[in-house]
Amino acid sequence: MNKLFLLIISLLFYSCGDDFKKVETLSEFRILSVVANTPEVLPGAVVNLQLYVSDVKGGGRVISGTTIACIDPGIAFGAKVNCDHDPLAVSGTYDIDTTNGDMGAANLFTGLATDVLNVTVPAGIFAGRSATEQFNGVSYIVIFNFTVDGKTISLFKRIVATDRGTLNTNPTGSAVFLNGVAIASAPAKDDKLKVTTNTPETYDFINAEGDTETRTEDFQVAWFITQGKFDKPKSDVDETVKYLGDAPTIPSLVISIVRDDRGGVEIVREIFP
Amino acid sequence: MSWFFLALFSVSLWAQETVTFNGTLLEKGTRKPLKDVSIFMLPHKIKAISGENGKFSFDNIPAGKCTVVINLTGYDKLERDLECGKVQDLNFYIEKKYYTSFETTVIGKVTKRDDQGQSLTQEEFIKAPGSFGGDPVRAAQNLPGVASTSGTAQIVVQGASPEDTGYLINGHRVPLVFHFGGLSSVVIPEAVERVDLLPSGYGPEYSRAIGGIIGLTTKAPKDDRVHGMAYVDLLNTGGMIEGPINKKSSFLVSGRYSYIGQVLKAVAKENEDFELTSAPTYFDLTSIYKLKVDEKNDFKATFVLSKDSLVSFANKPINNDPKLRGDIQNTTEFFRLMPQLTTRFSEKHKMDNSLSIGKDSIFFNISGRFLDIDSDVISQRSEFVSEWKPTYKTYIGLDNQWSHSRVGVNLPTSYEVGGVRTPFSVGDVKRFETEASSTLLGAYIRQEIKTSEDSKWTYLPNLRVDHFTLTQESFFEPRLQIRRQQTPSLLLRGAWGKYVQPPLPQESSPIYGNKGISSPFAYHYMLGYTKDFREGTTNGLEFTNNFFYKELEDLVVPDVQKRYSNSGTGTIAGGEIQAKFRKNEWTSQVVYTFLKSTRHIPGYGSRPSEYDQTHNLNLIGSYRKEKWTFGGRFRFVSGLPYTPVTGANFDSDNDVYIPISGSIYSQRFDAFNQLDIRIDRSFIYEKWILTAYLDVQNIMNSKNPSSIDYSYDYSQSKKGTGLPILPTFGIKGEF
Repeated sequence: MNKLFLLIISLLFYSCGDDFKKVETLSEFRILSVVANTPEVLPGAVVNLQLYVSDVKGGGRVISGTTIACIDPGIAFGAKVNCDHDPLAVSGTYDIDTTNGDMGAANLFTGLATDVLNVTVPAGIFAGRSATEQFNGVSYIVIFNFTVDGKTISLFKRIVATDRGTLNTNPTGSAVFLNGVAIASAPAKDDKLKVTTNTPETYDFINAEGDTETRTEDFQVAWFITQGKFDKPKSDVDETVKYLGDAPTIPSLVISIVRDDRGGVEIVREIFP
Repeated sequence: MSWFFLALFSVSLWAQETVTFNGTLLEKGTRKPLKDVSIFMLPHKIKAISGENGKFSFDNIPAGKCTVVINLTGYDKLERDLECGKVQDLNFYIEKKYYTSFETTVIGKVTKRDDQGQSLTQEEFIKAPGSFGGDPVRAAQNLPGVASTSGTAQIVVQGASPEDTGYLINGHRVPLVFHFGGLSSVVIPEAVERVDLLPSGYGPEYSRAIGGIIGLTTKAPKDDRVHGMAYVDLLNTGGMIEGPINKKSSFLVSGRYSYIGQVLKAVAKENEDFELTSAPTYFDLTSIYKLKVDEKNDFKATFVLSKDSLVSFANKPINNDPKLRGDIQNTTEFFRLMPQLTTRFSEKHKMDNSLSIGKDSIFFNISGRFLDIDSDVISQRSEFVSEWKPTYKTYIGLDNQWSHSRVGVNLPTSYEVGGVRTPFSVGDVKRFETEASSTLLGAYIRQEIKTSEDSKWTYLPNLRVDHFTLTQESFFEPRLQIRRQQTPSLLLRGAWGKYVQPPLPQESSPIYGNKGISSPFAYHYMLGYTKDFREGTTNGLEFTNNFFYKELEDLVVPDVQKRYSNSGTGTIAGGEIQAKFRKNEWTSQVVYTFLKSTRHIPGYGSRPSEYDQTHNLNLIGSYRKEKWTFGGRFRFVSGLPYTPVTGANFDSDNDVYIPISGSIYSQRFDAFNQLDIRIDRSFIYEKWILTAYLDVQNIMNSKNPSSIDYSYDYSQSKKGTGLPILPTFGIKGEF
């Protein structure tokens, strides 16, 4: 904690803006999210996964990659992201065709990849797990690997197996507002944007003391745009963010990705042709 | 005829009026009485000697014009024409050729108990260049074996981790000694008598720190008259007042308040990433009460209060961690009340009893993720010292501490190896409230044995016993020190010992850490000598050379399965020299440390420690000319090791990239170099002194890399640098 505090102080002292690429600015090939049709399942269930991809400047190509799925080695506790520990890991392939479907040129090569990866969560995933772990959820991870423009891109998605009963679903009803009204044009400098969505779900969780508590999902929004930047590239739902660049040239797009902190995701894409 | 002349002479004398002239001789500015000084009266050619309180008297001198002459070595000559008879009781102020800052409270040289330890008196640290206005702990960084983490001034003793250094005030443990990551220590320098550094091979009086000890000792308030001091500079302001309450007791009250927050706010105003919602600030308060109970007993009570607070708003995630953004609040405060009773049963038997009662509070919050710790802390020390014979002396003591903590946590777990941390956004969030008590019991015996009164050898077979209730462990820590006074100017010494410290709270936490974790320990080996070439004179060279080796065992290291384990080991080996040279107005010092600090973690192999600084060179010099003092310090330190990041995995659920570490601590930052200067100018008035000072840190504005910043996906990086040029101008008045 001391180190974190020192980091904050040093940033206050020395940070005068940086010349790194902006997290919210879409340009090179990027995978923005992995969408599961059901983020939580019972053991043995099949889940469909699709990548949400942006390839604004490199659009019009097919990129092939590999996948491997296994029980989470404990990434939250520092384990390396791989499946070396699991002899039952399942390998596969995944293609991203930026010319087809939702990812065509009309959408600036940004959208949901057509390929669907069907993942079967092992029926025996609860073996050796405590009742608390089974209730709170055991993660099954799917790792994707691609090589694009000479760079290795690696990402993963957790599918949570749980016997909680009520399973998590993806957020719905998200909409983007520009200066208080439904967005209809690209933002200009200092315009304010906001995402609204449906009410977060509540769910039961067994805490560290062994008590069952009811929690509410914590929705977080990631903002993306093809030009310019936001004052807050990450925000809470209903939190206003400000667009700081000049008005982007047309065509352009704004994307907001709402995550529910439990694996659920909803993506809103606004294109301004 | 002779009767006639005798009668005439007598009548002549009777006719000239004689008077008594009284005076008091004081040092200008400090009003310090000067005794045993010859005072001449002209033209009568008579002399008086000043006594206690500087008072002197001339009796039966003829009334009329007279001249008082005082010519004392080290002071400007004073000649003052008077009308003897008209004035009879005057104060005479003579001006010293050289004054140190805060001259009014400079105390004498202290006697060190441990030969391998180093002490800085107030006189030494208050004018040390690069000490940021005389800060004692920052001045201690000039000592051999001491390094600092760039820009933060955390204390790194002989290649150990900062967490392995124990911080004490009057022998009692405190959670921190620095405000705001190292800008100044938590006790105002003028209230500190001395700062002690106890590196490898330290005695049995202390433990629970496998690296070393930094200790501050508060001063006893002066009791001759009321003294005061106040200063103001670009970063903070402070003051102190001390003096007698009655014949038996005296007091000291000091305080300091920083407005560095306004400076930070100005910086942050230009920064789109941060917004300071309230100015960060720190303050401290120290008060001391001294009472001479009777001929045998002295009582002293010290109260120390320190608080740092920062509230800000981060628009952008910190360190590529989306959940570390938004409202940020950090408050750290503690207080200690430390009564102390010293009883002298006889010239050779003494006992010290002291207590420390206090509270530590830490509150850290980022966007609803928080850590809230409140701890009540009581510690107790007792020591009985007895010189049974000229050849045998013992110190028997107790060193106990009890704490009760209330902890509220809503934080994700985090994992860090080699300085590369898994983002908090990935961690499994833990929310809980808990209370826990911890007792640390310690007892020791220190013996100083000589085989005969004129023996050159002194043997110190020491033993310490510790018990930690949290880990349910007991330790026997034998320690041995040997010294040989080869000649009056050459001292040889050696030490060996076992040292242990309890694991950090988060390491032994059943929720965040591993309840089965045990305490790390170390063996220290040390050999050294000091040669004083001055041979009793003021000018010349004093040379110290030490070699040290430490074996570190059962180090607590991150473990994916158990969160923490005791599978780490390490070694630290090195040598250090300190050459102090003084000639008239010049004082200079060369301090150099060479060391190799390695750690071994199963699965990661042997690698340099995070604080492995191979070369650490300090060149320090000061020059005094009349009322001016010029000081400078140049530091050259090998760059710290760091772990490169070779790539990252995108965690699509948490919208964060998890860095992939390269070989642990396989690369180094460029060497650190920095030149600091300090200029003081004193203005001496009869009853007070005004000092103006300019302290410039990093005057060459060296870009010393101390961290690496990464882009959100770790594909881009740049090195962050430490403090830029930082000038501080201030004035200080004292009386």
